[in-house]
Amino acid sequence: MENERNIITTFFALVIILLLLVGMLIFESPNESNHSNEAWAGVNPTPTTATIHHGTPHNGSMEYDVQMTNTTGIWVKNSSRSYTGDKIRNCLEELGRAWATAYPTTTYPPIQITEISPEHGGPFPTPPNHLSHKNGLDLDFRYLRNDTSAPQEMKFPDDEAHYDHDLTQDLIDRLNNLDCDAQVQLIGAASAANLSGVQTWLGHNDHFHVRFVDPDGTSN
Amino acid sequence: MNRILPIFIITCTFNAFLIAEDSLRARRPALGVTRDRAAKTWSLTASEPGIASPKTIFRSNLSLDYASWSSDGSYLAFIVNGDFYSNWDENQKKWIDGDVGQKLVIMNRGYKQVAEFADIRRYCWSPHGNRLAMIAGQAVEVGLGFTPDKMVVYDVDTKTQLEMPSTAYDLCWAKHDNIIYIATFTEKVAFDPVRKSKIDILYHGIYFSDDGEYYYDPSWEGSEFGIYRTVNNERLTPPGSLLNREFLHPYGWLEDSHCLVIWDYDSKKSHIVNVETGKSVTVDAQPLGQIGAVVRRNEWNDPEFCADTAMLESLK
Repeated sequence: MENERNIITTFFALVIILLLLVGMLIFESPNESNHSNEAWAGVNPTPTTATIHHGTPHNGSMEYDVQMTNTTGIWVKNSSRSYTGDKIRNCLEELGRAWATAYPTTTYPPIQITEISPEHGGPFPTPPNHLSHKNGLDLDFRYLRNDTSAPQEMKFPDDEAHYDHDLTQDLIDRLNNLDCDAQVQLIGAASAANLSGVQTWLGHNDHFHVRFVDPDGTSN
Repeated sequence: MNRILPIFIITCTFNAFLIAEDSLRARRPALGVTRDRAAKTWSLTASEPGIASPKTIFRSNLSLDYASWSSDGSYLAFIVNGDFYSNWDENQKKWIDGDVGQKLVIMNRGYKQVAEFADIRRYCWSPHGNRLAMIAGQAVEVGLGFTPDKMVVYDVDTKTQLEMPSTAYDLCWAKHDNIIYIATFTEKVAFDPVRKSKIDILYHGIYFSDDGEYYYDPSWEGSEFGIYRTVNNERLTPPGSLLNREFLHPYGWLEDSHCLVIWDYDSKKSHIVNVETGKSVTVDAQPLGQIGAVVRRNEWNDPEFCADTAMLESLK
């Protein structure tokens, strides 16, 4: 009787181990899979919560994305349109803390992010739309002003008397030299902003465009 | 007689070439925008050929852009940039972006205003006749700077207009087939202004060379630049480095050529590049008119400069 109970217990233990192994095979890490967003819909999330940036900024999406909201040294214009990856958000928060130390927000304007991506990426569900900004790697930042510490728009050429070139250049330099798990790939800005470390892009008279290197690689 | 005929033909051909070159150099008044920082005003000026001082034809406290003549030179158009705002709306609990004063102005050859259209963000003259295609939209602080809401085709001579809802953010009126090519956030399509119908297309871009042999897709919002052969959508990789870049927004095609004009913001010079050979020449002049429109060979900010036939031949 004791033996039978042991056999049954062992049998059920083996079945459970087998099921666990099968489960692990089914729920393999999405970082290593080629599954599309749709294929994962309805499947229980994998144990990892690291953001996956799928595709490209022009034709992509996100999983496990996070929302960027106001934080120390950073003001976010529209948090419902500001979803990105966890590593990028962590880097930005670190950047914001350093910014607030260097430039107290009682005297200087905070870093101002106007738009990133919609929740889970893809096209924005409501206007304005973008050609890029589809997978959380593209962010729009305001140029910084010299006449107020409050967040305020800055557009060339109308507001150029209030343009703080040096402050904006310092922000560009800090973005280009982030010491964290996410790196900036390129920054596009208006020629009127006269910034170094950027590419001159058409338009962009009221914001500069920052593109991050995909922190989880470009193969997914 | 047998000896005279070839000499006569050669003489006629040579004279025709000289006349063509002369007509190339015959200029419309050069348009320019100047800014008085103290008075906070912007002026549109026209420099008549042979007259030293330019004439101010429009003044505004808003900035001015993209002045260009219609294809036959009867009219000119330019954009007045609106005064941008971004205000928090407590009732809607959201930011409301917009601007005041954005418009397109059309003048005749006597510099008298004949029409204006509010909220126009981009426009393109028809390659034949005096019609304009234009995109209207509302200003936003992000992305391309506006949310498109309609497209208008306006005939300046007859003062008639055709209006249609559209989410196109860019347009180009091609010379080779007289079709208006449109870029929306999701697709490239075309509009036939004669049949007033939409045409589905498979092209990757909307900017065609005058003969329609090539087209390109510029780097809007950091998208990848590409040049294509129209007949088969084959992507070109011309020799030389000027066109082999991931990000490039050319000023436009040079008229009646296979050359692109690239404006270098840093050096303040233009590069004229043949897309077939990759050969290029650098010039100290900036094209006039809206970026994306075909660059006329004799319409630059330097009235003395002309991209003449000899220059284009040297790039083949």
